[in-house]
Order: sequence, then structure tokens, then C-alpha cells
Amino acid sequence: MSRLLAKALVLVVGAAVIASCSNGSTTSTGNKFSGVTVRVVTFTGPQIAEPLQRRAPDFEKATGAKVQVITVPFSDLYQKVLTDFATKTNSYDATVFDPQWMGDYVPPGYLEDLTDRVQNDSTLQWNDIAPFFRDFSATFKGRVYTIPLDGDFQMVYYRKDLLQKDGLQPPVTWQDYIAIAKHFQGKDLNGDGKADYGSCLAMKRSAQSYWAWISVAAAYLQSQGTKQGAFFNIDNMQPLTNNPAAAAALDVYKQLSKIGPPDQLNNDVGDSRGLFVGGRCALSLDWGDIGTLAIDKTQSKVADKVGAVILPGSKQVLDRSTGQLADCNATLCPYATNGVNHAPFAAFGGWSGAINKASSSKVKDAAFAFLSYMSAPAQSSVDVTIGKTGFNPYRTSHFNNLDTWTKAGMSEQAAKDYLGAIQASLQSPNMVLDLRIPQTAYYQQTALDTALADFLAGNGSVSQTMTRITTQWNAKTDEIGRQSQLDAYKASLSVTK
Amino acid sequence: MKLTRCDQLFLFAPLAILLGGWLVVPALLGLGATLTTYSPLTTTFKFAGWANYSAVIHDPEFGEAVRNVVLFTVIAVPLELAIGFGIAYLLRPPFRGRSWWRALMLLPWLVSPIASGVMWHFLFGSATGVIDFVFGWFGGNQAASPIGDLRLALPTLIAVEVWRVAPFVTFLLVPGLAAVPEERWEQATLAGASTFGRITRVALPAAKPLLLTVGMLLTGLSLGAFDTILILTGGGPGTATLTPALYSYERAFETNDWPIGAASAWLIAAGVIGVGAVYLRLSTRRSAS
Repeated sequence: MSRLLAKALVLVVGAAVIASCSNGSTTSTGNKFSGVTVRVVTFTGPQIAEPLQRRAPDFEKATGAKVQVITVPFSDLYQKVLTDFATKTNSYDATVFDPQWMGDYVPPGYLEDLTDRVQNDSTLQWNDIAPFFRDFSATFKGRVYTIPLDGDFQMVYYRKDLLQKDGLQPPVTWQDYIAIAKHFQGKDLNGDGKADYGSCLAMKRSAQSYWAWISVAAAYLQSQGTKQGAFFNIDNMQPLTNNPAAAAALDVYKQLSKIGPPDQLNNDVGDSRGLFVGGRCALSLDWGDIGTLAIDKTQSKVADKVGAVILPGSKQVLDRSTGQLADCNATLCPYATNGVNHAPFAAFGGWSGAINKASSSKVKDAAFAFLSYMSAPAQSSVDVTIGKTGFNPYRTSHFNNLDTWTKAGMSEQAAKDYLGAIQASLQSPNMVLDLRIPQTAYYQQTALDTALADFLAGNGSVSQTMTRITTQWNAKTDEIGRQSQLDAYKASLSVTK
Repeated sequence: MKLTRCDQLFLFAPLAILLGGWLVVPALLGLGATLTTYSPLTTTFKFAGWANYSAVIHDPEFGEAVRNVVLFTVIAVPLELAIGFGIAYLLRPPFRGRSWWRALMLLPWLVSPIASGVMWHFLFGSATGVIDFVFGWFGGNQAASPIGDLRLALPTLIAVEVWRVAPFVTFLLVPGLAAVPEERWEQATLAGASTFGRITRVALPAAKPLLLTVGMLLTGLSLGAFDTILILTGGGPGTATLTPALYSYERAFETNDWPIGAASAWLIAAGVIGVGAVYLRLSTRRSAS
């Protein structure tokens, strides 16, 4: 008995020593931000909020900082954060938001300048983030204000099995896209005996249709690199919405509206994604989400049947000196591939983290550490493979490490296709930055989206639609101030002269 | 017992505080804000006069929204009243299980408009559409979703609204019709009245006061139609199903144009107040006669 007691005593003492050692080690590395609470606001999700909430306890264990994730509906997020900052209520220390809003948040000085922090933080591995997100998406007037957590841009998904079977190549131009869509429209694509669709797009009003149109228009409008911009002339802030390039894009968009589900005009992204992963569409245009949804076997009927390519391009682009469409040549389309100008569109820009400048320095340090932790390859390389996070790849390491993708359920070939399309977009020097000037929401969600919805519904010709968008954009620009809007637009493109 | 002035004030005070503090004052502040460039997002603002109202009234999209909501109201409300009244007439005579049927009538109304929108979305949608599925089951061709069709979208929304509201009208009218003394039905029958005659001579006069009240209520609700439409069509295709409430919401919360959103909301309120005034006039005239 006494021997048993002695053994027990040794075990207890041993456990206590181990416990004290481990406590000691936590104390030494885990109390850096002890007692600090960081209030991070983002949208209700579950996407975006989910990884923040899931990883907050681990971050607390590692650093002592308590992260409180506050969620609000997406439609309220912009106003809530801006109101909070403008009224100096400062109930949020950090926000994970749409970087398009930088145009409203940075000029009044609400966001912390993170330029020095990102360069000096080894955990973050800033240079691993793709150049587009570093130099454009996270940057305003040459200074860094956000940490990218998500790589958003649109690309085209296609049914690899169907195209291979019929000897077709993935679309290179928008004319190819239309031809392939027409080829498959009305055929049974998933073996259920019902007619399916050549292409499925989200064209619902007051939803996300305008991004799809910009994805089409970008190929015709921007050919000289990201700094050229695809929305306004950077000399005089005249909209690029009333010219033969915009007309061509409207024409393509109208054709696409007729090659798809009969209720395509009322489909949002949830519908088009559901149709595609349900095997009912040959083509679709979307962010990176379809790639991860397609491998989710609980809902996908197209696992390992999906290919992805950079957004289709155009052999003709807008020559801004003449205002006419012109064939691509080395001068007009310096970044063209085989005479086709591709302009991948970073629609929305990807959820990014920013810090409230008015928070205390200790809280700002902790907030930065949390955002850095979320973006660091160790965490983000896993999060971008999970569909429910809403995060898409944006780091070089996300593309180089196929293991995380195969572990998530993608075949090696599917991962290569998916990541290849993203990489082709990311490496393009002609990527299109989404609009981020004051009242961007009016330009895109009110003026552009409504005009497109009317146009698709048959209310108004191409010419009337272009005039309508241009008139409304110009009126808003003049109302706010043409020069200040031009300055903001150039700042967003990091145009310094 | 006659209440003293002090008693009256005491009893009225809680309601006055509730309505004053949480309705009248904020509403008046909002009304004042529509005459300025005020927005919660800015720290300064200036007097704008009627500019916001002028901008809304001259916006063709708002004109479309008004046209849609007028059509929506003048078609949906009479249909809801007629169908609701018709079913109430059928449920009037006592029969076994009547109370269950009456409770069942309340179900569509109890479903929140948002949930109703989601449900109909899945019924109409081509990805998961039950209607499409049923067509396919019977060997029919694929049915295009009516909410994606420019001509059918508004009529479809009207149908969905009638589905939701008509049974509620029934629920309200059944007790009134059931309370009509049996002799009056018998008198009408003895006088040789047909079913139509019994409805016009007995049922309608009995239900008229309630019909007027319910009609006013439904008209007010229709003028503010929003939730289901937001989910089902978002106002599209084009502007085919846009309503003033949706317009106001989009301006205030999607494009953050607060003054325009608030001004359009007050124009809706003015419309509803106008309907209320007509109702008061009619009910006063009825009381006087």
C-alpha cells in the first residue's frame, strides 16, 4: 500500500512539475497582450465571421488577448463602422470589411497606417501575399491600410468532362464562352433526363449582377495594366461607360442572359452556384467559391469534373485615344496572350482587416497581431480550402502547397486546375481593381446595377443604357466634386502623377 | 363612473410616453432630416429645403415603384377581401372541425413575410423548384419561373400576397358572419333570396364595418409592401416589382443615400396617412348616417 502511495505521490508531483513548466511557458509567450480585448466587427456570415470566431480562442491562448468578434448584417456593416468612426464612438478596434470602402474610410483618417507594421512583422510574411493584393488591394495612396484575408476575383468555371467529351477547349474569349454555352444549352448535362443550361450567371437585380458585367466589360475596357483603370478616364474622371467597348460588353451580357436557366434574371449567386455544383450548367462565372463548393460531396455532383480558367478576354479593346474599339496589337494590348486581352477582375477585392486609428496603442498592437495571425500561412492555408470560410487563396504559398488542397478533398488535378486559374489571374499585370472612391455604392449598386437590370429586362437599348449610366455617374461625380473624386480614383490605383 | 381629468391624464401617460418617445419624436426628427443633407455618416449637414423630395419625385425609378405599388394594392386588396370573405361565408355555418379550419386559415399569415419569400423562392426556383419538378413529373417541359419573367413577376407577387393575406381576412370575418342571427338568413331564404341575394342582403351588411377596417389595414400594408418582394425578386426583373418601400431601403441601406431614403420613406408614410384619412372620413360618415 505504501508503495502504491509512493507511486501516486511521484505521479502527482511529476504532473505538478509538468503543469508548472507548461504554465510557465504559456506565461512567457502567452501574456503579451494579457488583459487586452480587441473588438473586431465584420458581417454576420457565417462566412468570414466563422474563421475569426473559430481561431480567436487559439489566439487568446497564444497571446492573452481576448478577441470579441461582433457581427452585423452585411447591409449594415458599412454604415455601422463609418458611423462609429465618424462620431468617435470607437466601439470597434478593428474591422474585417470590403476594401472598396477604403475610399470613404482612409481620407478622413479613420484607419491605422499599417505600412511599417506589415514590413516588420515576420509572422505575417507580407511578401508571400500576391503582389496585386499587396500593392493595390491593401494600399491607398501608396500606404498600406489593410491586411488581406481573402483573395476575391472572378473567373470562369467549366465542366471539364463535358468539354472534353465534345472536343471543346475552355473559353478564351467571350465569343468562345457564348459559343460553348449555346452548344450545351438545352442538353442533359447531369444524366437526369432534363434539359440543362449552357451557362448559369447571377443576374438578379439588387444583388451581384453588376460585378459579372464588369467582368465582361473589363476585357474590352482595360488593356494597359491595373493603373489604367476600367471605370473612369484618369485624366478627367469621365466614365468609361458610353463607348463601343461598353456597348460590346452589354451586347455579350444580353446574349448570356438568354443562354441559361429561364429565371436567370432572378438568380443570385446562391442560385447559380447551386445549379453549377448540381451539375446543371456547362459554364459559370464566379469568385473562387465554386472551386471549394464543387469538392463538397454533400452538395456537389461535379466533384473532379470542374475546370477553371482566367476570365475570357477580347481581341478588340477600347483605344482611348480614338474612343473606338481596335484590334489588339503590341502597343494597345501589351499584356495580351496570343492577341487576346485578358483583364481579370478583382470584384469586391477580398475581405480584409483594418485597424481603428483611434484605439489605444496596446489594443492596436493586439489587433494587428490577430489580423497577422489570421493571414499567416499556417492559418490561412487551411482556411482557404474550407468553403464555409468564404476565404479564397491570395498567397503564393497557397498555390505552392497542394497538400492542403488534396487533404480538403480536391484531386491533385482539380487543385492544379483551380489554382492555375487563380494564379493566371493573380499574375496578370492587367488585373482590374474594383472601384473604391467615395460613394462607390451609388455608382455600382444604384446606377449601374439598376440600369443593367432594366436593360436585361428589355427596358432600354444599348445606347440608352450607356447614356443612363454615364449621366448618373457624371451627376454623382459633379455633386461630390470632380477633382476630389478623380484624386480618390487615382489614389486607389496608386497613380501618383 | 366618470373619470376626472387627472385620471384621464394618468391613464393616457404611459401610452403618450411610449408613442412620444419611441415614435413621434424619432419620426419628427427623421422628417426634419429629410429637409437637410443629414446622414449618420457625416458630421456636418446643411439645409436642403425640398431638394430631397424633388429628387425622389423626379426619379423615374420611384415613379415605377409607385406605379407598381398602386397596381399591387388595387389588385391585391380587393382580391384578398373577396376571397377572404368568400371562404368566411363558406365557414359560417357551424360544422364539426370549424375551429380547426379557422385556425388553419391563420397559418399563412403567421409565417413571416421573409420566410414566405424564401419558401416561394424554392417553389419557383429552377434549381430546386417544386413547380418545375411537378411539371417534369407529369412529363411536361420545364416551366420558366414566373418571378424571372418581366410580365409575370408582379402578378406572381400579387398572387403570393393574396395567398398570405386572404385566409387572414377569413379568420377575421368568420366570427362576425357566424354571429348573424339565424332568423335573418331564414328571412332572406323565405323572401326567395338566392345565394347571391343572401350574400348581398345579409352577409355583406353584417361584415361591412369589419371589411372597411380590414380593407384600410390591408391597403396600408400593401403600400408598404417590402419583405417578401425583397427576398423573391429584389425589385426585378428590371424595375418590374420595385416598390417605394424597397426603393427607400435600397437608397438608405445599400447605397447609403440617407436623405433620399428618408424622404422616400416619408412619401410612403404620407400615402398611408392619406388612406387612413379616407377611412376615417368613411367611418365618420357611416356613424353619422
